[in-house]
Amino acid sequence: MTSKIISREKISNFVDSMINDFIVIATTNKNNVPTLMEISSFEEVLFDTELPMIPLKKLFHPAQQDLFKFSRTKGITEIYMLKTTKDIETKVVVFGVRPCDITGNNVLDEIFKENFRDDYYLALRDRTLIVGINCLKPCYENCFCESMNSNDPKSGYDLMFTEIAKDQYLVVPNTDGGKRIMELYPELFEDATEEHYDKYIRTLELKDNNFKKDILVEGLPSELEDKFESKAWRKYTKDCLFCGSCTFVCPTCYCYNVKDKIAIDLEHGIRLREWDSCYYPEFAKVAGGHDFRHEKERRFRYRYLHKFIDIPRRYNVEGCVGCGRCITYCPADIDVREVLEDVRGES
Amino acid sequence: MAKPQIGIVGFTGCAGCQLSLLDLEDELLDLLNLVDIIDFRMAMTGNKEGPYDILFVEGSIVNDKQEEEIKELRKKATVLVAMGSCACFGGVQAMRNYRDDKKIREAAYGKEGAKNFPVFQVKPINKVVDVDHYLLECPVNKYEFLDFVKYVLIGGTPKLPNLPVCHQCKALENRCIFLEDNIICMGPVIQAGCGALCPSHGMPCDGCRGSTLEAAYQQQVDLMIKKGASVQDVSRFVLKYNGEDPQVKDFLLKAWQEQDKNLQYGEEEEK
Repeated sequence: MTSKIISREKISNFVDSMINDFIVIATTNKNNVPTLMEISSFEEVLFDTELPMIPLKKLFHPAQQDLFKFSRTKGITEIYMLKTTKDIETKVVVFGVRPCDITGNNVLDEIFKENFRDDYYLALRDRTLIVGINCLKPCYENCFCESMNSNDPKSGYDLMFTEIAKDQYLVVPNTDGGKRIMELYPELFEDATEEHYDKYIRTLELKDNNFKKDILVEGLPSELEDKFESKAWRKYTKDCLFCGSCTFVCPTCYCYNVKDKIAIDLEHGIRLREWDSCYYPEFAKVAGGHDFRHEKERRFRYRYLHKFIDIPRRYNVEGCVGCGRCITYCPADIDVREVLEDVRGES
Repeated sequence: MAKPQIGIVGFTGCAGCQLSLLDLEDELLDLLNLVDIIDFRMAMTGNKEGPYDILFVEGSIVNDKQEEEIKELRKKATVLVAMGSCACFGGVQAMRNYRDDKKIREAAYGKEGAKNFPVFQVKPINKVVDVDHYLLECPVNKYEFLDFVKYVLIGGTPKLPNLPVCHQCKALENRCIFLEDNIICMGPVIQAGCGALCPSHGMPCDGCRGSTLEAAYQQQVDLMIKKGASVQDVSRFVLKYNGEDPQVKDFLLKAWQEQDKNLQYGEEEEK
C-alpha cells in the first residue's frame, strides 16, 4: 500500500505547498458564511468545522455559467468551455471535502459524465483533484449521512485523510492523481507501519459505532410510490415558502435554466445557464403553456420523489446524501427526515 | 423594424425611474441608435406628445386630472409599459389606500383644508388603462429597461424572471439574515431580478419589486411573526411598496385584516 502518515501541524505545510503548485480551494469564512473558495494560505481554512453552505457542485456546475457567444446571423461564434480548458492549465485541488459531499458529487458525475456527456461540466471536473477528510462522528445535528449510505465513498476522491490518533492522520490515495500529489511533497509524509494500519482499522470500527441510521432507505422508493396521495405532503406544503433555498444548497440538485443575453448591437449575444429549482412555478411549464406541476403541493412532493425514487432507480445511487443542508438553510424549518417519516407513517 | 418612437413620462412618484434611465451612461448613445426618444421632459426640450411606439410611464395616478391624462396618452401609444413600483403596484403612496384617508388629510392639511382635497385612491397604471408590460424595481432596473427595448426590437417577448430573491441570494452565497440573524427579509416572496442587491449588502429585502409568481404570503408572515415582528410590522413590511399588487391586496384584505384592525381599504368618494 502507498498510504502515508502525516501529522496535524504538517497538514498546514502540505496545503501551503499545494498553494504554490495548484489552485487550492477550501472551505473558508466569507462574510460569516462557510464558503468554498480559492485560498492563499492554510490559515484561511476552516478545518474540522461545518460544511460549506454551497457544496462542491458549484465548482463544476456554477450558479451562472456563460456557455457560448452567438451572432444572430452567423450562429455560434465562440464556445467558452474551450477557452476555459486552454487558458487554465493549472490543476485545481479542493481540500477538506467531507465524505457526504464526495458522494453527492458522485451523483453529479453519474448524471453529467456517465449518463449524459456535459462538456462544460467535464471541462471543470476533469482538472480538479479532491482531497477528502474522513468524518469520524456526525458533524452536526442535521447530519444523517449514515442513513443515506454516503459516509464511505469508494470513488470520487483522490486522497483521503483519516485521523487515526490525536493529531495523526493516515493519508490514503485513491487515484494516480492522489499518489502524485503525495510524491510531490515526500518530506511531509512518513511511511505507514503495521501499527498505523491497525489503528486505522480500529478508527473505522469506532466510526461505524458513532453513526446511527435515522431513516431506513431500503424499500423507500416503492413505499413513497404508495404514499403518492398522502396528506402529509399537503401539511408541509402549508409551511413551505417555495424560496428554493434547499435546492441550491443541495449537493445533488443540478437543474438549470438556459437564457440568452442580447448585446446592444442586437446582433451578438451570450447564451448562459443558471441554477433553477423545481419549487418555482414555471419550472415544469412547457411550450404551449402547459404546466405539469401547477399546484404547489405537486411541486413540493416532486423534489422528494425525484430524490428518493427517480435518482435511485435510474442511476442506482442514492439521490440524497444526508448532509442536512436543506434542513440547516430552510427558513421554514422543514426537516426532510420528518417529512419522510410523516409520509411513511401515514396509513 | 424602423426606429421606434419612444416616450418617457412621469406621474406621481419621485422621478427616480426617469433619472435611472439617464444613469445608463455607457449604453445611452447606443440606445439612441436603436430608438428615437421623442418625449422625455426630464432630459430634453422639444418634446412631442406622441404618437408613441412605446410609452414608458413612471409613477402612480393620484387624482382626476392625471386619470384623464393617462387615458389620453394611452390612445397615442401602441405599447404602454409601466415602469417602477409606483406605476406597477402603487408604490409607497399606495399605503394610504389602506388607512382612513380623511384622517390622513386632516393631519396634513387641517380639518378645513382637508375639504379641498377629495378622497381619491392611489392607482397603479393598470387600474386606469391597459398595460402591456411591467418593469419592476424602485427605482426601475435600468438594465431590465434596456433588455426590454432590445427584446422588442428583435421581435421577442420579454419575460419577468418569476423567481424569488432567494434564488439570486443563494447563488451569491450570502448569509441568510432572515434565518440566521432574525432580521425580517421579504426575499422569499419578492420577484428576483435585482441580483439580491440589498441582502448582498447585509440589508434585508424591502420588497420593491413586487410579489413573485404564487408568493407564499401566509407562510412568510407566519415566519415574520416567529422572528419577532409585531402585527404592525407585518403590515408595514408587506405594504411598503406593493399596496396595489393583487397578491398583496388579496392577502391583506382576506387573511390579514382580522389581525390588523387598522387596515381599512378605502373606496373612492362619489363624485
